[in-house]
Amino acid sequence: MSGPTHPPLRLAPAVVTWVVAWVAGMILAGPLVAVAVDADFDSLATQDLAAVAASGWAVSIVVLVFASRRWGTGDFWADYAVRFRPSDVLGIPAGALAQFVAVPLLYWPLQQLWPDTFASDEIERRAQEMVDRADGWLVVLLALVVVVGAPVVEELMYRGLLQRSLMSRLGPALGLFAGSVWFALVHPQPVEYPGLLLAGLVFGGFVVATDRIGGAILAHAAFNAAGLAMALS
Amino acid sequence: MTLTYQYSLAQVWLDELAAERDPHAYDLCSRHGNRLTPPQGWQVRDRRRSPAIDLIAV
Repeated sequence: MSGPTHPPLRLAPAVVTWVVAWVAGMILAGPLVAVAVDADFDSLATQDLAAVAASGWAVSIVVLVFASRRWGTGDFWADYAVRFRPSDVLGIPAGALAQFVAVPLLYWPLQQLWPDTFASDEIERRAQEMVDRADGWLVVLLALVVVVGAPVVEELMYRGLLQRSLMSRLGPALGLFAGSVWFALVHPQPVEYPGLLLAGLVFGGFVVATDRIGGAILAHAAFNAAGLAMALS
Repeated sequence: MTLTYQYSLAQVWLDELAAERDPHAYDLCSRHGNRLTPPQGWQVRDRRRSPAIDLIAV
């Protein structure tokens, strides 16, 4: 995973790839798996959350592989800039700092202006609910979902595919911003949008700087690990 | 911290300690406020300014 990076997919095929992965993975596969395991989709137990997430990710990977073969070079790792270098380890402190420092600083003025809308417990609700439903070995399963699975698949989709395609069309700055907005808006809670936009900018910044997603994956993993640790404490 | 509530909304609010006394608000120490359990069906909204906010990007 250290070969050359190929140019990203063109924007139109990249958007089609995302739409197909989103519809097939998140709208069809996820709810179908939830029905199959007899889970309440609005209040998933940890093992059900893992099953639903894994089904969506599996579909996303299949769609990404297909897109690479159809519109890219067929080299999955190169088409989505999946490479790691030692310097990518900088993603770990960057992700942790984003969680511990940048997110609270971002929300502070919002909480002064709109204390009810941006109450800390509203922002933290989804993280807290995930943690509240996990105990024992399920904490390990939850950690695998949020610290390993989500960072890898989401960085492939949002940075390796979408952001790089957006950057090739709009330029680095606008492409980074557009990709980060996209990343924030796909999450379910609007109160999380500012924090996730900031997180997307941090993760995507590594792609702008290095033209690979290794640092972004590590930053995303560290961001989620720090959030999980705080929610568990 | 200061606790207020509204029966009609089945809602409890926890805020930073109020600067002025109010007969409809109840000042609590952190230890007791953090262990507060609302009546069944009620919700607690903690509006105290937390220095940290846990956010998970999933």
